[in-house]
Amino acid sequence: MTSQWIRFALPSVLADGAMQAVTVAGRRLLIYRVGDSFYASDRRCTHQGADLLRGYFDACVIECPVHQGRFDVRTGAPLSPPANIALRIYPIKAEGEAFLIEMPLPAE
Amino acid sequence: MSQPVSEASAPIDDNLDDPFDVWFAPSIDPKRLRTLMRRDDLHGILFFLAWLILCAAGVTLVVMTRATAWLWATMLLYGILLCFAYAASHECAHGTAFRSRWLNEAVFWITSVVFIEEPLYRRYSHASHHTHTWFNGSDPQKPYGNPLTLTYYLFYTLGVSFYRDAASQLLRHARQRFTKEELAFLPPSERAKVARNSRIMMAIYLGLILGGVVLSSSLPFILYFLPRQLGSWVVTAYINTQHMCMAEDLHDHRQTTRSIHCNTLERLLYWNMNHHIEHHLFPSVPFHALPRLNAEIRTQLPSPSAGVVAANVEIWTAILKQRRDPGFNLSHGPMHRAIS
Repeated sequence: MTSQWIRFALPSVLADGAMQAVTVAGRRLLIYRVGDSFYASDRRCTHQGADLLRGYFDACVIECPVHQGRFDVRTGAPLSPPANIALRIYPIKAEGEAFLIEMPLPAE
Repeated sequence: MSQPVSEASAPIDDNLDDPFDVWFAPSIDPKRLRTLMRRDDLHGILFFLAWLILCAAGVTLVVMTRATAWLWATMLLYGILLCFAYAASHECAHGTAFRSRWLNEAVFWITSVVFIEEPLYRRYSHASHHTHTWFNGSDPQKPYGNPLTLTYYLFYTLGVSFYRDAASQLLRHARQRFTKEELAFLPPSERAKVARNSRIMMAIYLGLILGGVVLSSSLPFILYFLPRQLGSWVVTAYINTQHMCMAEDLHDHRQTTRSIHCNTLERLLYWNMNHHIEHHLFPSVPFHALPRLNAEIRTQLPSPSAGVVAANVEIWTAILKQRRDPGFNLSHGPMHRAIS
């Protein structure tokens, strides 16, 4: 077993086109909503560790607030320099008002 | 494979240990800031079209006067306009000029070719400039430091060695030769791309030169190479205002960076980069929203210099003072001077 589905609830309603920061199982994450779809990623930019919560989110793309590196939140793929390392993403699905997110199990 | 579902509380957490928190940041409502970050195509298209139209007028003047004594004057005027390609190129390097990515990249390439700065290298070096703004030894876009001399100021502002330096860098990058400083911010995976782009740009310039020679046409020279050199001092005078003679090695853009007042035409050509402190504080805010950003945070910022001429006069004065006091700079000093 390498991963685990974890159920959590967001502190407030996530509007379409918005993102929210949460900590789930010790991981600092961003949860994004695009229409009826939800996505989850690490919160730090892979370039130099800036907080992506302060960045610009538009149409499935999160942009770093410091250097404007961009990532596709659906795949984590870096879309423009200076971002050139993929952003870690996590499978997530809505379950009523809660969410299920698949997280890796901590190494034993 | 996955284990069964487990429950977790998900506390909202707005306090990530952000390495960039060492920099001064003015207070602004995050929702308001997100609004200011919004992108569109319209502003970029209007500003870019305005530049194109002005350049087209410049081209017309140069062609009309090509056989007259006015040629050098019209090349100077047109060259000044042409060199403001810098502004669009800079905004596109941030990716904030247009909402449409293809438009951003297309204009980035066009203006980078005009300004003679390979776009991918520019993007990485400029990102590093934002990481290490005006830190000696780590800011790759800090070509000078305190104290300066008037000779250097004139040499740099007039762009005396511009073509030699630009050609040298393009040739070096085309051969995948990078300095130790460049290797620090340019990832290995990108170096071949920079080399490829540099070769493409060299081919464009060589094509223009050879085309002029083979066809016995002066057009590449009077419409590009000469105006590009003749007009560069004006945009450099604007670029000088950004950091020249300011404080160094501080995590505070208010002391290392300078904003200036500009009139409507200047703001149009310079893509609002007169709000330079604001740009460094929030580089994700696109150029067209900088005046609105300024309105939000101006009470937390030092007063801008009166204009490009006034700022350059401040710089000359500082350079003269640096003769006696090499550590003198135009730092705005302990901040919040504009705060009541």
